[in-house]
Amino acid sequence: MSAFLQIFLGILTAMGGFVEVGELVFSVGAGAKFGYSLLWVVALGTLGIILFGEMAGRVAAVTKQPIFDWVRERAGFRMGLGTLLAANLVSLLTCAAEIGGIAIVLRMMSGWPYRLLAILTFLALLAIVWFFAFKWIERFFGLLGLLMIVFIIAAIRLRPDWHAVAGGFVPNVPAVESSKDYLVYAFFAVSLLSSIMLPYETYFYASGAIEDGWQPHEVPMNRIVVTIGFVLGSVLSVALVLIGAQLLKPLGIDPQWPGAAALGPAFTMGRVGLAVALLGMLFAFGGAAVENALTGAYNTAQFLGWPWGKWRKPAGAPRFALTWIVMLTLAVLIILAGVNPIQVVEYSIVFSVLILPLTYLPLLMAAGDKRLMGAYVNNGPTKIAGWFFLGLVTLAGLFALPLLVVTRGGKL
Amino acid sequence: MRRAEHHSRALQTVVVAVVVAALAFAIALATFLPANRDTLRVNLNSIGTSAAEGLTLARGDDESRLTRNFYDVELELLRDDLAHVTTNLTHARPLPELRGHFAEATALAGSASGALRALATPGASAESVIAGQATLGSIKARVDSLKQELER
Repeated sequence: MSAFLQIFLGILTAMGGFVEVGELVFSVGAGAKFGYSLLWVVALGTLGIILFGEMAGRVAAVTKQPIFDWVRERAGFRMGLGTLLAANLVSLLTCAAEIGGIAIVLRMMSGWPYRLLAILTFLALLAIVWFFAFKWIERFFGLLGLLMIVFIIAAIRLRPDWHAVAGGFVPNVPAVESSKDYLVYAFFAVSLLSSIMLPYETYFYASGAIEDGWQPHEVPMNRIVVTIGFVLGSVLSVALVLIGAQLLKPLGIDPQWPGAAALGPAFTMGRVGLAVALLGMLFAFGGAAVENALTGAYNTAQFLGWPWGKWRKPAGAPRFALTWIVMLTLAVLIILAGVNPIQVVEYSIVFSVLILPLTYLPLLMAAGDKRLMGAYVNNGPTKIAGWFFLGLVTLAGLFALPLLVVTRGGKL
Repeated sequence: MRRAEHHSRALQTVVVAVVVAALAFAIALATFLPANRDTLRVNLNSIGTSAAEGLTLARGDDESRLTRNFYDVELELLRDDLAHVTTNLTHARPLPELRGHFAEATALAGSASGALRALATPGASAESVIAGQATLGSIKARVDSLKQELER
């Protein structure tokens, strides 16, 4: 395959796989509650995920070691084990939320019972991960997730005030009705940042680089794919914020379910827009469910030194295969137990921000190690940006849980 | 290596401390404190948004922008939310001065659920749909004024 086609597919896959159920709910909710004023968080989060995504891909391409190798090596077994358990818990919750989101979307399309659809979703995902090669899993969900572009068209058709939209990219505190709304604003800022910088994205990206056999000479390609793909993906997040601000806020709707986002395409393009939006959500959530199940298996296998990788047949990496099967099984059991998937999303997003510093610290130290990385070591600006974002996510992590409790999940 | 281990230990200690403190606060809030204005406000927000979304869905259905399955499932999810709100309000132990407000909010949640059911009934007459929309409109207005009262 030509390098150009590889870059093009990589960009489209990164874009199509950018949004998952948590980001969808928080982006639309942020727009519905605070108009355009949280757009700067989307921009900030996108810069952060580009920075650490690129770093994860670069470290993997140069050292052939994924993130949890570094976590164990740099943080020690005991400390690393804590990070592994926390990361896998968050991936499990996120996977459960995605499966619940898929079942809701399928129900909106078919009218079939929710629990039956959750089971069918589980079986379909199991079959896809079992039979598809890594590259095809990535491309299948990433490219079909591009149907989410319908949200960008809807946002444009809703005719936002572009001057005000541009103003939203500058950090600001909006005029609110009550002093408690400032806490809700802070909760949404932290949650939106976390939903864009979800830790599984870097784990999965680094493991994927090794699955695809990246070499050091592919580091520039990694940089292009991450930067353009994630920037284009963030346009989807911006579109979701605009739909919340332009359509739902004036109507007084504070979206509780993913279906509220689909009202944007439905009210601008009718039933065709609605159908494309639901399909886009289906594949975007499906991709995130698979990525989280695999991430749990990658992390565990890498940390404990088991053979891993989709390029191996399940018999060649049985503990790795068993772990992703267990992740998917536990996730569907959480949903079948009747837990509200959107509440699961809230918890997974908030707990994600708590473990972000634990993930990014070893990565930042590995990428900044001259002996290890040679010519590919972090340069000055990357080092400064890396430590800035590490400080930022640590600060966000300190406030995430108290804000969740005080604002009652942003519903105050 | 040792420096990274030290930093990781410090970060993990902070994370565990934050989780424990927040959980303790949440449990104390739910167990020992009576339901206050914040509890009422959260539930009023849910009632108001369900009514507003119900109205929007009805408009979308009138204009043939939505599919039947999408419309019915969305209305059902909103009714589930309202059932949850009703349970919360019924089991709450409100401050004495807020008892009247809690009772009114419970009644509003019940009315909103009934109005959403009227919209969703297959083959519902135009009159019942219009009545359902009117009910949701008045519930939304009352919720907004109750929230303003709470702010004072």
